[in-house]
Formats: sequence, C-alpha cells, structure tokens
Amino acid sequence: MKNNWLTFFMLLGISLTAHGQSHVYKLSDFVAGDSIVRLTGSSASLEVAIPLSSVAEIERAIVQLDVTSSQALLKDRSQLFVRFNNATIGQIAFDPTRPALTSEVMIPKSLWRKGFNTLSLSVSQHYANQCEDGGASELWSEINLYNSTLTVENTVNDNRFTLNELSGFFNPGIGGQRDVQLYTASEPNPSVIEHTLPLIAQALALRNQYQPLVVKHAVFADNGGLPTLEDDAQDTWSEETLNRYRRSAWYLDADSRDRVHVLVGTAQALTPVLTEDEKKQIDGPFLKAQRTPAFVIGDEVIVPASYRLIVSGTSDDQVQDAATILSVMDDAINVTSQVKIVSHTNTTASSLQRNRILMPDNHYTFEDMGVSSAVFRGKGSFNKRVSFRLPADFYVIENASVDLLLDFGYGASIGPGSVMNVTVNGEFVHGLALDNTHGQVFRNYKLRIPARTFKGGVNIIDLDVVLNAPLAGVPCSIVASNHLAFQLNNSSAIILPDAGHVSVQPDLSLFSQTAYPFARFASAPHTIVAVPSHAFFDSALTLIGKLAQVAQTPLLNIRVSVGTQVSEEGSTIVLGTPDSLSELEQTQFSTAIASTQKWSYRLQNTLYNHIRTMTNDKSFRGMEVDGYTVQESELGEQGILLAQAHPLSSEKDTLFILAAQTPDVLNERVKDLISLSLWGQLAGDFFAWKDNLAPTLAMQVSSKYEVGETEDRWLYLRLWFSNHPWYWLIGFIVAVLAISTVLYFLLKRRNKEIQKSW
Amino acid sequence: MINLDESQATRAQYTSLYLSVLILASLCLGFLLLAPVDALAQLIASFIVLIVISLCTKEARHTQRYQFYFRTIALVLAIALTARYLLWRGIYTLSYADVLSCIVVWLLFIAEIYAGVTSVLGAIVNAYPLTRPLQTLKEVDPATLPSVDVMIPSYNEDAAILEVTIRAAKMLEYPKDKLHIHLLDDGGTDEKINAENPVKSAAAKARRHDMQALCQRLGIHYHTREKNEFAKAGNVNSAIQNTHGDLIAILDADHVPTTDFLDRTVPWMLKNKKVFLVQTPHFMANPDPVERNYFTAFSCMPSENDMFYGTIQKGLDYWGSSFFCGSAALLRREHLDLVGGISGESITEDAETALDLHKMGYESVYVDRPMVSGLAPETFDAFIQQRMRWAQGMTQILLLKKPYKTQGLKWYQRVGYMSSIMFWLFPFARVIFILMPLAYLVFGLQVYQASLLEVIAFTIPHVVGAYMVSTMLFGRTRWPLVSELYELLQCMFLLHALVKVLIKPRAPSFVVTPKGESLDKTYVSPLSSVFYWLLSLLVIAFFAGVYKLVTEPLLWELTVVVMLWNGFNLLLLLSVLSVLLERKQVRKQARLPATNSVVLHMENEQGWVGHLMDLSLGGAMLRLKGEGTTVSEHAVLRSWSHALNRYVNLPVIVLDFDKKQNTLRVRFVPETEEQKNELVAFTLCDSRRWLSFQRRRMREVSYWFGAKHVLGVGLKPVYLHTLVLVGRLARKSGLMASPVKDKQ
Repeated sequence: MKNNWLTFFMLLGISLTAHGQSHVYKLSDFVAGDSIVRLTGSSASLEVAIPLSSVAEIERAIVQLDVTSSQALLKDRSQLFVRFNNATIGQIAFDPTRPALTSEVMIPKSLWRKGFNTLSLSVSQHYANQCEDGGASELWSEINLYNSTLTVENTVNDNRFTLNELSGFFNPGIGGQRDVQLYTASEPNPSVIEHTLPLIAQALALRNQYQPLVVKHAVFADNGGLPTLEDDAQDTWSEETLNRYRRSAWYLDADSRDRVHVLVGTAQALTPVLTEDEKKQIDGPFLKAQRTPAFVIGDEVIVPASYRLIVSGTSDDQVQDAATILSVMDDAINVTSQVKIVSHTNTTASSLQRNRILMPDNHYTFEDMGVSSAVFRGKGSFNKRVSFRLPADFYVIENASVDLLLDFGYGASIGPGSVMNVTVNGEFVHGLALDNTHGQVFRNYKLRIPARTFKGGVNIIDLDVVLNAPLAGVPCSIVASNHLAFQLNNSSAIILPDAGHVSVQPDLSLFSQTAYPFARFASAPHTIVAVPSHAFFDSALTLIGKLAQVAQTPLLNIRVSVGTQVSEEGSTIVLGTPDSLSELEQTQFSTAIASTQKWSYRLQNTLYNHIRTMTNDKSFRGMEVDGYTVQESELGEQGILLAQAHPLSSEKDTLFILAAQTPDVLNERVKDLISLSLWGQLAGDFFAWKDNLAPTLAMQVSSKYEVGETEDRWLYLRLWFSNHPWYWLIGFIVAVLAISTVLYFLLKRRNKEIQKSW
Repeated sequence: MINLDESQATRAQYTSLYLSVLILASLCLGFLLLAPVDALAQLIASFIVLIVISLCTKEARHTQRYQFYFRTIALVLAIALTARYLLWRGIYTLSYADVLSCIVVWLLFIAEIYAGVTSVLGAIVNAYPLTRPLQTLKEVDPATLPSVDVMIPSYNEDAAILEVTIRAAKMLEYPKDKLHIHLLDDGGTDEKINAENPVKSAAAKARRHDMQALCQRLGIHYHTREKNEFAKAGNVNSAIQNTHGDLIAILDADHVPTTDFLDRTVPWMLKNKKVFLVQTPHFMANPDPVERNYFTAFSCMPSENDMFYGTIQKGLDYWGSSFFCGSAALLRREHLDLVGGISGESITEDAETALDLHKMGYESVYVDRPMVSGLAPETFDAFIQQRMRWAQGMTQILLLKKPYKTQGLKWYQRVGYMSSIMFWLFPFARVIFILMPLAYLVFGLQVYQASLLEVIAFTIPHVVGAYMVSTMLFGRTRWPLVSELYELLQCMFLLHALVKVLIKPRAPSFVVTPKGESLDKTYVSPLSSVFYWLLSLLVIAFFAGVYKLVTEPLLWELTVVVMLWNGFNLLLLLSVLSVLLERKQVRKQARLPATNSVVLHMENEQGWVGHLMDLSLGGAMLRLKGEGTTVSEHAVLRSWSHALNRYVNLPVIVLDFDKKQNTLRVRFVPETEEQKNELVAFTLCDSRRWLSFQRRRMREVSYWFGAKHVLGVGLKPVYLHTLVLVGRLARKSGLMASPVKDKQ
C-alpha cells in the first residue's frame, strides 16, 4: 500500500514536470471592481480579459464557475453561455430548484491566443415563454468571481530565445515571470550597484507592466568549484565535459528552469561565466539573449537549461549604457539574440519622464493617445475607457478647465433610455440622452470639465453608453435590437490647460500612483534609495522596479546608495531596521523609527484618524502633531513606511523610511507592499502592514509642505498662499493700514492748509 | 524767514517720508493683490476684510477724532478688494471658445473695469469732503464791495417764471448801487425776429416786447443780441461785453435766489483774489419725475442731486476742482475775460469754463448752502433731455479738452474732472450689465468663466465692499439702489446720445430743458417702449435660464449665478415701470414743508394764531390754534420773513377749512408790487428754510432698509398687477367665486 502511494506521488510529480507549471487564478484577479457580478435582464454579458504571455504554451485550462441564479428563472430557456474568444465552450442551464451551482468548463488549448483572451459569460434569462418584461427584477444571476477560478497548466514554448521574447517572459499575463535574479561578479564595481542594477530591475519590471516583479541580486563565484558527480566513472572531468559545464548556467543557485536570469558586468567581470567566444563578442554596450544548455551527465541533469540575458560592455559605463537601452527598447523589433549599442540620444531622465505623459497646455486626439475608435452594436451597456497620464505634480488654477471634444454618433431608431454618460476619475461630468430617432452625429461635441476633476498621474475618462431598442407599442412584441449602433471616433480630442508643477508633500497616495517625487515632469532631480548594507539590496531593487512600473518609465535619476550616510540632497528612500536607522537624524520627526521608537498614537493627536488627499485639502486646519510616545520595542513582523520632509535637504525634498525588524522581514514586507492589492492602498504619510491584504494602520502625522518646480514660482506662491491664507490676509491688512495711515496724514495736512486760507 | 525755510524743509522731509512709505506699502499691496490664491482661501480672507470694512464704515459715520482715519481705511480696503477682483478677472477668467464669446467676455470685462475705475475715482474725490464755514459781508465796508452783475439768461421761459426770479434778484442783500440785474433774452434776438417763418418771427417780436416791458416794470436791464450763437454761453458772453460789474452772478430763468446769496458768496471772492468761482447748490423746489412717479417721497428721502451737491461737490472742493454748474454761481469778470468769457466748445459750457480757468491756476469755492431754488424737469421726457445734454456735454469735454492730460491741472484736479466725466459714460456699462445675462442664458455664450465658489470669494466681496463704502460716502444723500434705478432709466437714451457724440464730438447742440410744464392728466411716457422691449428680453432670459437649469444640470453653478444677476436686473426694470406712468400733478407749484408761525387776520378783524404746514408761491396750508375759529373768505396772513428781516402781510383767499383738524388751505392773492415782492421773499428767498428742508430729507438709512424701500415701492404695482391677474384667472377657472354684483 505504501509503495502504491509512493508510486502515485512519483507519477504526479512526473506528470507535473511533463506538463509544466500549474497555476490557479481567481477570476477576480482579471476584473477590476466588485468580485460579485450580477447579470440582470433577459440577456446580459460579462467579459473577462485574460492575458497570456507570448512565450507561454497552454497545456490545459479549466474554468470553474461559482454561480447563483434567481429561482424565478424558467428552466430550459435560462442558460449561462461560456465563450472563449467568441467560441462557445460551455452551456450551463439554470435550474430554479438548484439556484447555486458550481460548474467546470474546459478551455480547449487551440482557442488560446497570445496577448489578451476574452472569456465571455453571457446569460439568457427568462421567467415566461411570452409577454415577458425583459427588465423584470427577477431576471438575475450572480457570478462570484472571487470563488470562480481559472486553472492553467503551461510551459514555455520552444522558440529560439531572442531579445524580442523578453516581453514574453516578463509579461503581466499568464506564463509571465514574477521574479528575476541579477547575477554579478562577487565584488562588482560601485557604479553597477548604484546605477546599473537598478536600471535593469526597472527595465524588467516595466515589461511586467502592473504585475509585481521581485528582483534578487546574486553573485557568481569567481572560481566556481566543480560539482561532485554521482557517477564515479565520470568523476574525472574531461576537457569536453568541462567546456560543456562552463557553457551551462552552472552558477545558478536556484532552479531557474524556464525562467530568465540576468548576467551583469563588464566582459572582464563576466569571465568566469562566459566562454572566450562570448567574451570576444563584447566590444561595446552589449545585450544578449541566450539559452544556456543543460549540463547532463548520463540521465542526470546536473545544471538545467536556462534562459539568460547578458547586459555587458567593456567598461562599467558601457554596461550602464546597455542597461539604459534595455530599459527603453521596444523588444518587438529586436528579433535577434544580441545587440551592440553604438550610440543613443534623448535618454535623459527628464525627457523619458516627459514622454510618458500628456503635456499641459496641449491638444491631443484620442488617436495620439493610442486610443482606438469604438463601435457598440445591439442592445446593452457599453464602456469605452480612455486612460492617460498627467504630470504627477499637475497643478491647475481653480477655474481652469479641460475641454473634451468628442466625435461620436448613433444610428437611427434608438429606443428610450439610451444615454451616453461621461465620468472622469469616477466623477460624473456629463450625460446625454440619445433620443433622436433619426440618429445623430456630433463633431467636436464640447464638454468643459473643471480641471480640478483631473489629478496628477493616471486619469480615466469613461464613456458609458446604454443602447435600448425602441418600444414596439404593441403588447408582447419585442423590437429587435441588432440595428442599434453607437460609434466613438478616435478623432475625439482633449485640450489641456496650462498647469504648474506643484505638489503637496508628504503624500504616500501620490507616491503610489505616480512615484512622485522620484518621477516628476518638469525636471528629474537626483533621487536615492539608501540601504545600510547589501542585505537590503534585493528590497531596494524590487522597490525601484515598482516605482518604474508606477511611473511607466525608467527612472534614470534614481540610484542606490549603500551605507549609513544619507545624502543631503534629493528625495530619498531609506531602507533599514531600527538599529540601522538609529544613525539617521530623526529628531525633527513626529514619528521616528530607531532603537527607540517615537510613535504619534492616534489618540494623542487631533489628526488621529484622518487621511486626507492633501492636494484637495482645503480645511487649512493645523497639521501639526500634538503628542507622541517614545518607547523601546520591536517592529515584529510588520513593515513601516514613513514619509516626512527631508531634515537635511536645502531644497524641499521628501524622506521616506521603509523599515522592518530584520532585512529578511523587510524583504518579505516589500514583496507584500508591491503587490497589486496593497500598493493601491498606500495613503497618508505613515503606513504599516503585515501582509499583502490590508494595512494595519495608515495615518497622516506630518506637517504638509509644498514642493514645486523652481521656475514656476507664481504657481508655487498660489499654493503657498492657498494653504496659508492668514499670511496673505495679515500682509494685506498691514499694507492697507500703512497706506491708509500715510494717506490720512497727507489728507489731514492738506485740509489744514485749506483751512489756513480761510 | 529762517523759520519759514526750516518749516518748509521739515515739511518736504515729511512728504518724502510719507511718499516713501506709501510707495513701499503700495508695492507690497500690489504684490499681494496680484498673488494667486485659491477660492476658499480668498473667501476666508475676503470675508474678514468685509468685516473690517463694516467696522470701519461704522466708526467713520460717527463724529469722533479718528472718523476720517477709519474712513480712509475703509476706502483703501474697498479699493484693494476691487483691484483684487479685477486682477483676478483679468488674469484667470477671460477664457473663450470663439470670436463671439471673446467679444462678449471682453465687453463685460471692460464694463467692469469702467465700474471699478469710476468707483476708485469716486473714492479719491470723496475721501475728505470740505465743509466751509459760513461767511458774511456784515463786517465789510459796503464802499469796498465789488459791483455785481446778476445775469438771468432766458430762451423761451414764461414771463411768470422770470418775474419771480427777477423779483428775488432785486431783493438780494447787497448795496443797490453795486447790484445790477440783467435779463439776457435769447428768445427775442434779431435773428429770431428776422426769421423767415412769419409765425416764429411774430412770436419773437412779441416775446422781446413782453420781456422789455417786464424789465421796465421791474427796473432791470434787458439784453438781447443779433444771433443765437453758442446758446447760453454766447448769450452770457454777449452780455458780459456790455456790462462792467466786477463779479457776475448767473441764475437760470427758474432759479430763484435767496436774499443772502451774495452775502454768503461774495466774501470768498474778497478773501482770495485767485478765486474765479463760488458755486452754490441747486435746490430743487419740486420733485423730478422719478421722485414724483416712483417714490412719492420727495420730502422724506434725498433728492437725486443731493448726492452731487451734498457730497461730491464738497469732495471736489477739497481737491480744488469744484466746478461751475451753469447757475447759482458767482464768477469773477477779470478771470472770465482771460478765457474770453464762458466757453462754448461743448454744450456743458459751465464745466468747460471751470476747466479752462482751473488749468490757468485759478481756484474755485463751493459753498454748501442752498441759496437758489429751481425747478426740476416735470416730465420723464424733459428729464431725459436734460440728462442727455449733460452726458453729451461732459463727453465732449473728455474728447475735446482731454482733462486727463491737460497742462496746468494738478493730478488731483484731473482725477476730479475725470471722475465727473467718466460717470456719464455709465450707459455703456449699464447696458452691458443688463444684456450680458442674455448672452449666456439665451445664446449659451460663456460670459463669466468662474465657479460658484469663486464668485462668492471674489465677486461678492467686491460688490458688497463697494456698496458698504458707497453707503459710507453717500449714505445721507443717496439711498441704496437709487443710483441703479436712475442709471437704468437713462441708459438706453443716453447710450444713443453718447454714441452720436463719439462719432461727431462737435455735433450736439444746446437744447434748453423744458421747465414748469404742467401735468393735467396721467399718461404713459412716450419713451416707454424701449423698456417694454428690455423687459421682454429679460423675461425670455429668465425662462431660458430655467430651461437651462433643467436641461444642463452640470452647469447649474454658472446658471444660478447668471439667473440671480438677471433677476436683479428684472426686479429693477419692473420697478422702473412705475416711473414711466406720468402722474397727474394737481398743483402748479410743489408745496414744501414749512413751520413758520403766522397770524391770520380775518375780515372781521379777528386774528388767529397758528403755524404753517406747507408753503408754495401759490398758497399754503396752516393749522390754527384755539377753538371756535371762524374763517372768512378773505384774510391777511402775517408772518416774520427771515429773508426781509421784517413782518410781511400777505392777502389770501381761504380755499378750504377743516374745523376738525383746525387746518385751512389758502391761496395768496398779492395785489401790490410790494406784496408780490413780499410773497416771493417769504416763500422762496429764505435759505434757512431750504437748509432745514434739505436736512430733513438727508438722513442715513441702513442698506437693507433702503433696498427694501426701493424694491418695495417698485414692486408694489407689480404685486398689485399680479394679484389682480391671478384673481381674474381664478374666477375664470371657477376656483374663486365671482363677487356678487349689486343689481341696483
């Protein structure tokens, strides 16, 4: 019996190996918003977009649905249709006697496509055979996306590993890589640590788009010893065996099968891991995608095959150049395994940041923004989302407005209740009844939207369209709705007002949305991630990768600094433990983390539970913290992220402190922090967490201050006066009093002179 | 000599210090006014500033040591708020989508700039009104007094009106050998007598004959001339060439002087040889059409020209720029000769003459005592005609004389003249303010690019601050909203007149304002049609606004603001409709309150003591004391005349006697020349009576009381109309029972 069980597990293991990796995803991972979706009416549909990496080969995929339906639904006529890329793969009948059901549907391998795949869940719901009200409240069914799952087994395809495949490995879709190891020589040059590795971390994280990427730094041994072979006959290493071994990725300290790792360093530094031929190829900034062979002795795989990316050059500067190009290059056009960079331009930090955003005081068509035209047909609710980025420190005057010029039209014979609603960042800004039965076409349909509706960072304009069929006017007669049509053209445009570059700090919410102040618009001052020792380096790289994802551009202005000295200039993130942070000047802080902690407990302050969007904070209430407690304790398993004014900087910079009790705990907490679920919850200027679900505490504990671009002092002044109206008022009254007093004396003197003449 | 030099040096030192502080503080204030602030912060600051203004204006209205200090603070604060508003408007709100919007937006902004500039100029002018002490000639040796020519220019006025004026002029307290009265008749010139039209020619001949007879009878000089060139100015200049008095007093035909007119004005000429003008107020003895038709409150609220003569002229006097108002003034011949007499380039020859002499360095004096009573235009038509002349004349001065850059004028005199002139450009701004809501509500043009919060933070404090300061400056002489009402009434007509002047600055000709017209029936003014059109437009705008509010809920903030604005215009327009209803005038002369003690001698030689209740040239109402009064039809009224400084006996006919109240109405029936003179002196030649009457109606009211009064009076007819109409509709629909008609 025991042997049977052993055999079973062995077979299972072999099976998994043969069929690649198996992953279970919740459908709610692919859908924004509520995890329970209710489909109402006689017909309704939910579309779930499932991304698939270009290097992934799906072996097996099963979708399991958790559905609850109304008991009023008519059996046989009420069904849930499961379609994948428009092909029907399952039909689930609703049974009024069994309102809750769980159903599994296999997704045929052949239906999967690289990129986005659409899983459609459509319902046809009826409570009667005739004379049915299509909008009756009993026509509903619910799909619990959190409980519904997609189980996928996938492998990496057998294509040649070229640079264009990088975007397949580092991809937000299924099959994408979620962690990466960066290998350097054991004692890399400081510039590699400071600049090159952060750049590579950003380059790969950017390819992952929104999916977190955990970055690890490892070193290969300069004189790597040979492994001990089990087969005594092969114990002696022949030349040929040694060459084969050297060609393999022998230095990998973890199983990196089907995954890409990165080798970073000059050709000289990479000598232990490259062959002479490979080294000769490196005569400038150099990028190479390479598939290393497995090192097999007999049946034993000593070193598995792997994918590696070489970022190299003949000098450290060239390695950094190669990393820079890796962070900006479009993989799709590099259908080759290696490139040598001859020269590059316009790869400065500020120009790259500027290229990712819409510039204020400009006119952009949707086409310019990469938004396609949309055509909606038939009855139902439709949405067209236009997403764009504004500078993180986007600051407009009170009455500035953004003009939205829409080009759209709808067809004839449209029914009552057909509307187009426009929302900006979830705020309703316009509604239009589509009520011309002859159809209508609009060109430059102008919506003047207050610019304060928009914010720094990602902005979303949603155009929600509801198309209804006309009423038949005869009972129990339904007019077909396939003639209904709505079209939104991408010639539609947005006109942005002039804006300044001012931000209120500290603000973790803005940090999470835009990576501000590490990513800016008008300039890219140097910023730093400071780590006390190499033990914190992985956390730093992972965090830098996340910042690049948030900024959607490589942050060339960011560098890693190792040591306990914190730079006096530039916004800084200091990683550390209470012990390492003891050397940091924190006396001015209302909350401090060191060997003794200074906590501003909520009940000690009037601000105890207030987190406000600082840029919209018009209350002008004092933001000073009244009280705090100094104590000796440990941080335990939690991570703490603090943001305060940089105490040493001559400019107004922000100092972030990211702390945990030990480097390992910090690494785990950073992984939690960059997760999709927790990163979006960053708020206030004090953030504590223990897992990736929710913060344990988020507060606002520091005085706010403004950070602005020095060249636009006028707008900066506006913000300052707006936050300190009393200064304006006092100045105003004093000036008026001075003028009045002088005028009074002059008037009185003239009056006396006139009276003298009497 | 050394002391004088030291004093001057100290003074110059202080002046430099003051100016340095002033410039520095102004720079700081300028920076703060330009400094951008978000609406909510501005809202907080603005409302605190408003509270400070309110406290300062309250202190400034009380007589106390620092009264003028608080007044100055309030003025500077309000000017700063206005500047802040205009800067904000100019920098942040002038956005537009198309050419039409651009035009509309800029028109509105220019109108606002105009309003801002005039209020700033007004604040400077009225910062420190000058109150001069009363002077008299009692102590002066009559032999040293200058000779005076009293000139009464006339064009087509009735002999009866002129007779009263001439009789009063003859009774002026001044050495008779040095007082010469002249009637300057422009209605009987050679040009008119030789007119081709025989009817006109005959009428001119008859007028010359009548006027000559009148002058002969009253013992004054008659003047006429060959041609009617340069209207009133030419008439006076012609007479100046034929007379020799050192001083010249000019009185309009209907301007009856009190006996102390020269006694109070000549001393200022004696004190300072550089004084070319002593101007006194024009006291109107009858209500203008607005006062009569709209307020019916002539005797209890300030008259329209009280603001000018009671406040603005005093302010101008402080700045040495009070100007000649055409009548009720004393001029020095020597100075007039320097500029060739009264100037005639514009149709407001008076202000133009003053400007010419001011720029030569001569000085003017304003004596704030009503010593001339005149007649206001009786009809709305005549009222508009008069205002059109003033507006055109002042605009001509602006265009032809350019007082803002006239050499010789001090900066403050330029401010004074520009303030007086710019006021008359109000029709442009007022019309824009009336019509602008339509541009948005009806035509959908973006006229005002601001959120509700910004309007509350910037616009409302500016408007409220301006009103507070206006009440502080003019509270006693102008009730709230009255200015708006007068401007609204005049704007459409004056706009037309101003445009004509702008196109052809020399084209307008002098038109004599009709005076002494009688209204024997109630009728709607022929000028009403333009107001009906305006009213229709504003009602359309109101409904368009309601529609916009329903159909475009996202624009509700702006729509509400513009609808409130339109509603204010509509309210004013509705209330002016009652002005256009010319009400019947029962009496020829308006009776003004009087309190003189009188004794009424009856035919049966009984004498009854009592006091006057009101008085006019035609008659009086009096209340007798005691019981058992018996009244005869003919009687003699005996009372002390302050003007003549003796008792007068005036024959009267009793018209009506109310035994219950013991009051009776009498009509004067003077028989002899002496009695006629006494009647004029008793009724019209006592400046103390005018002063007391003026003080009685010049009282300060709160803003809310004034606004309530104006709107209440204006809305009453609308309210009554609505009641009647609703009642009629209700009866038609059967919701309300019809009143039972008495068949008998």
